[in-house]
Amino acid sequence: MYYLGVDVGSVSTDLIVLDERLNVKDKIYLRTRGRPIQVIQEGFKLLREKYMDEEIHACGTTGSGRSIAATLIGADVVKNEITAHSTAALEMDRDVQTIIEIGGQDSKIIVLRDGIVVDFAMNTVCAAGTGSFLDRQAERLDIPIEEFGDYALKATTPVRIAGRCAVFAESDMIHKQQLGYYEADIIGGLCEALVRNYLNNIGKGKEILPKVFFQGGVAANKGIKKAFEDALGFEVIVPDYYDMMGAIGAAIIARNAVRKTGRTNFKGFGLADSTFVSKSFECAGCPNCCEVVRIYENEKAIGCFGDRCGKWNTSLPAQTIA
Amino acid sequence: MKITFPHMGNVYLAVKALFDGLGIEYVIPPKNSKKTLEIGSLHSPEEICLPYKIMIGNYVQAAEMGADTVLLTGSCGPCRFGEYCEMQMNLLNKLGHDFKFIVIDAPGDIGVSELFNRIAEISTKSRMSKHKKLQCVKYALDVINLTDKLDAKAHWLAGYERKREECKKLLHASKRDAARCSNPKEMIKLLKDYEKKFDNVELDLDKDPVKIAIIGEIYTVIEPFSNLYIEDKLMSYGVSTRRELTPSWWVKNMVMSPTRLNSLDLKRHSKEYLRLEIGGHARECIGEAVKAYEDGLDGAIQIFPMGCMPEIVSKAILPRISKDKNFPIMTLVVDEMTGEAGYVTRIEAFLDLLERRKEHVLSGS
Amino acid sequence: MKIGIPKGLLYYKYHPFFMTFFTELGAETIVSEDTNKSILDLGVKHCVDEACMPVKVFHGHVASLRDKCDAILIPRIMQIRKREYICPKFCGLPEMVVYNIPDLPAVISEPIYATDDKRLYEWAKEAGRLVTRDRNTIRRAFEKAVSVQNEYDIGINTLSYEMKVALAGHPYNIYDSYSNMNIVRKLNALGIGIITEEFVDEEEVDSEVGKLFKRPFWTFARNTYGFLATAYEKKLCDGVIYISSFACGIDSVLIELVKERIGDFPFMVLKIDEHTGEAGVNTRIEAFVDMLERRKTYEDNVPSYGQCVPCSQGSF
Repeated sequence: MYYLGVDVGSVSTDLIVLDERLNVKDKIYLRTRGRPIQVIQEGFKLLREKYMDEEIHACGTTGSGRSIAATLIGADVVKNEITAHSTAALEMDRDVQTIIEIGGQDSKIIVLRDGIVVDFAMNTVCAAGTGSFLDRQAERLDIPIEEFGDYALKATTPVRIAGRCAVFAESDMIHKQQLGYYEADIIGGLCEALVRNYLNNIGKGKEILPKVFFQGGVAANKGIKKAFEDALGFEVIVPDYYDMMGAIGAAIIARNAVRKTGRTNFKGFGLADSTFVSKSFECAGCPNCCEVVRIYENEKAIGCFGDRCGKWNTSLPAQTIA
Repeated sequence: MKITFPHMGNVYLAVKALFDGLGIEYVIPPKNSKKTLEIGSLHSPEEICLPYKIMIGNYVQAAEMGADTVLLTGSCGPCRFGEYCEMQMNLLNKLGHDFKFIVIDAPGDIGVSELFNRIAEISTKSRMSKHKKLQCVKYALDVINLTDKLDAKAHWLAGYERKREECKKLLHASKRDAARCSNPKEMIKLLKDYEKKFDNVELDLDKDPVKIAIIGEIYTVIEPFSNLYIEDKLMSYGVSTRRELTPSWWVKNMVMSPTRLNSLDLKRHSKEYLRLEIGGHARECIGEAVKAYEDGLDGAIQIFPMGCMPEIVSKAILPRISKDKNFPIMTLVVDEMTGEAGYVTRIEAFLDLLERRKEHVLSGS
Repeated sequence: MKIGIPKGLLYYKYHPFFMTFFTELGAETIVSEDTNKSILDLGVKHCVDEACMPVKVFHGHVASLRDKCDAILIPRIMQIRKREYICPKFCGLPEMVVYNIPDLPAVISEPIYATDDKRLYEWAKEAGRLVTRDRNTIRRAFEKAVSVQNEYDIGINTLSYEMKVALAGHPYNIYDSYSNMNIVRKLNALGIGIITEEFVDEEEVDSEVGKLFKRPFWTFARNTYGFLATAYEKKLCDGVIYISSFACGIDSVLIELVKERIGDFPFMVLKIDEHTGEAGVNTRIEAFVDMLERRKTYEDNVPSYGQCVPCSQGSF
């Protein structure tokens, strides 16, 4: 008996398989590259080598592509990332009080007390400080992203970098490079700037108490972890599956949902062989002119997305709360 | 003279009833859409607030339909809305639209006689007797009260309905049909019929839905396009919502304000945290948040356009209220860049948070 | 009794009044340091993110005084002129500060209506009570404070340079040299003189403002608009530099009105916030000055009926 979780993010798509006791049996990390359908098919091809359709007793989706993924796989629940992340963290440790989550294009803070979410915030305008931005800087400095954190740890006197806006942070870094600062100090400074920015922006007014979980792709960066610890004055924990927490959460929530309903809607791994075609058209029903995308699986329409009024959006599973 | 006016929620229905009654030519701008905002953002100064941009889009689209006169209400600050007329006149002129602006300002600022002059510019276009004209104003007020009432009913009952989205569908149908009416009496009758239909919606009164107050800047809470149809979304989720700021509230508040007897309960509720009027509707926002807590709602969502001066002050105060009363409040800031995905995630997560809190209290753990 | 006075917002214009008033009452006063990096950081830390930089800086000044005094003055300036306002954030300033900076001492936050001495005295009575119960002392301190304030001249009008720019913006953006990155000194170093709004007559401001369809209801807007329109008409300057805080609601309106009024007269908006890089500011100022100089040379060489040199408008 296994539970499947799918997290379709802007940068990566994660698939996770949990066993009955919620241990991670399999994890697959794929780059989304703007093609969520193909990526899910790719993931399913790998999974069906090991699992039978009947073995999957619940499946859930999360991430910005959660609706499309849910239609595709027949998810039992479609959950927002915040709830998914906190569910996964709480499963690992009931005492978590704060979650810092920094992913490909957004960052969040979740405040928990006594095992429930009491407050949260997400970045609003700018993507400075998220994974994509760090990737870009690593590329520009010609340093593999995996080593970025190690460089930061070598910094002796981190340089001060303006970190609010990605564009300005980059020009400020270039400026500092031109002035001849030591590379490690610039990277260290960047990490500090991103953390300062995070705490002043998303973390403003939030009571950050230990234990703090640091999750999302950026948690791999030791420099950022250390900068958080320096700023907060206590240890920040990076959980084992820090980059899979969304998918894990979705799987757990799905398990809980199926316990109530008694059966899963999972459509099976067979979709790996299906042909998916998406066709878009502009709805002429009202002046909103929504661009509606309709998805066909083997020439059969399975779902519509993008309409505000919900007229086309009929084949979605009901998005009930909790 | 063909009069047009900017959109704000259901106001267009009341204005339609008014001008239909008076027999004055008018143009209702196309409903706010991405296109409206695109036009507006293209021509507006970048840092101006969202309502201004949408309104410019309304005028330009109305001009394409033959409108030549804009009817706008004014205000005398300190919020930016009061300066809209001057800037919008200049801008539309530059765009080559020869609009005449009729700005209904507070008499305290422009003088009573000037106010009457301005109103006369419209009313003389109608050949009716004074009595009949007043009758038409009354109809318009009836329409605005009725549409607000329907809104409130639908938003609240959505939490209790047995058939998902029934209230939402009924509400949309009522507006669609009202827009097709050709005279005010017909519209009023139709709206009253719909009111009865709401009484027939099958309810599950044992439900204890999540209940939320929608608070914040008046335009963005009232105009659904500007807040990415938050109330529609919440109706679909089966959440009960309440909103105090409505066009009918605004009318009542404005008429009553010289007597200082306006919105007494909101003033009372805001007293502890913000005792003075600071402009815009910041004080109302604070009052509503406190009132929502006292009325036993589960949380509040504050909405305002980016850069809104008064609401920035209330945003600074709300976290304290939230903390003092253990009452969750989420702020959503909207502008033309607002991405729907993140917006929806936030709303859903907030609902989850409220739901969990409810379960937590019930289970007593 | 030690009263803390934050060096932010309208401090630059009204400090003689506040300082004299409290000193005359017999209280000790302490003014926060000039704005600096650590004050700005404190402000950014405590203030809501959406607020403009001057409000954040003010938060920083208050936070820096937190443990150094018995009460802090947070001027809640509602009105300076009749039928005009400042900005909603000034009216709600005490709330913004008090609810966001923990562990503050007492605050003096009575509303200030400075439209006339009588209404202003209402503030003095309330604020003075904190220091003394003696009505006469308060009355005397108030009168002294008003007279000191009336004698106080603020404003810049440099005469010794050949070229001059009108430096416009809210007073705290002009006089807080940390926030504006020493723009006055930078311009002077480039050989450019400065004139500020204090150097045009009230009547001229009124007459310019009177030409608008709608009377501006912000005092800042009235002053700046009247100043720039007059400076343009009377050729008091060669160009305009407008220092504006990022996300300032009033400026977003005012800049449009000014542009409308002065047409293609050289006009540059310098946007400042806590992230503004000094290098960028320098480049803009230098480029603007270069443009003014070229324009001047060109104008001197063409007949007076010649066309204006086309120049770029608005923010660079």
